[in-house]
Amino acid sequence: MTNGVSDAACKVTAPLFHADGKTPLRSDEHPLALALGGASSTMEIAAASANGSRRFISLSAAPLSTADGKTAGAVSVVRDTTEQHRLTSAIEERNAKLEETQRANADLVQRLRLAIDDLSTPVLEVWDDVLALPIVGVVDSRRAGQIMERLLEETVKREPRYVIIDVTGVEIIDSKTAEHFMKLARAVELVGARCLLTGIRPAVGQTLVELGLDLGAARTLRNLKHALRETVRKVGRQGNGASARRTNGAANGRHDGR
Amino acid sequence: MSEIAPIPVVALHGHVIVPVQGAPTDSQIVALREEICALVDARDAVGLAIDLSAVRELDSYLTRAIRDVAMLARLVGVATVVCGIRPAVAITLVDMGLELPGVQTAMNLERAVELLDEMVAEKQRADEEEEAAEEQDAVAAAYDLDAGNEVDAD
Repeated sequence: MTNGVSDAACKVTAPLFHADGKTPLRSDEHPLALALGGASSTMEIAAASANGSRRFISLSAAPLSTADGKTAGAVSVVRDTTEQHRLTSAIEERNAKLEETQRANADLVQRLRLAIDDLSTPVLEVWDDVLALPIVGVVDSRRAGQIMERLLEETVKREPRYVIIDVTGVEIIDSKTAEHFMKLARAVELVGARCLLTGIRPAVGQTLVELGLDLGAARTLRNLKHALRETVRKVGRQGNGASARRTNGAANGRHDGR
Repeated sequence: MSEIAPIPVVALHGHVIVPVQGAPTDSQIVALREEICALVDARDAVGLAIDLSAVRELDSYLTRAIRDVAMLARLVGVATVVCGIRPAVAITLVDMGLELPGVQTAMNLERAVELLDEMVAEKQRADEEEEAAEEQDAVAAAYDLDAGNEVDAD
């Protein structure tokens, strides 16, 4: 008899599916069937409607028991949750789209940052054997590292005798920034070029002195003009010296050969 | 250890050139130090160039060894230039605070030899000036002596 009741209860005109809308719902999985077995449950069910679309139903069922504890029947509540489903899926879709836009934005910001880094640390070949690096903006340790890598790479590639680091565009120089500049100058010297630091404005210089910061071995000049004048003069002299040496060397070579 | 080839030491135009490659072992460095001393002595070398362009990593030991060799060379009157330090090596050295105090650096071997020539020429000029000054002093002293004699004669 119980079976008969359950079969009757589960017999509906529309085929039923699980919440995914594809897996068919077996009759013994139906909440009413479970309720008749003595267990109450709630389940999301999809039903195929006449026009082929799916409607979503929230089906709750509970057993009705008599005073002596026997199951006499079952009660079920059916709620149409199609609209809720539609809204949820719409929100999910929106979220996915939003996430994608956010990712695209992050990519863009990253690319812009790289572009700005590239633009903000141009290494210029201002004269034969003279490279200049004007630094503009704030120099934190991340940027200092980038500047260091880029400058050394360019230095090794172009083999200048002098590298001028111009800090006119750096608004604030604190102990950290000064340390970065010192490291930069030392690394350039190690790689084998002479490093000149220019463009420390009086106000900045005052701060450095007040903080007791010493730029140490770095050669400092007032501005780019002075540095350029000095380096061009020295390069000119060295150029002559080098050619003289070469002829000398050749003469020596001949002398040795004789 | 004996099968490891020693670091080559090349004598060229009055300079000693040492191309260091890879990561030299302790015994190689000890051998290098002795060889440099011997060569400087035998060839009457005036300059020493240490080429590090084939060294990808410079640890504190090798840095110290190079500095020691440079100091030693200076003690025996040989100008020293280190050349060809790679950017990555330079960054490591600066970050670790390991530097080569009192050692000149150059971009490549050609520049290093150029710099050595300059340093040697500078030293010669300084020596000549000193000699000239001494000569002048000697002349002045002689003149003083003559003047003194004259005074005596009167």
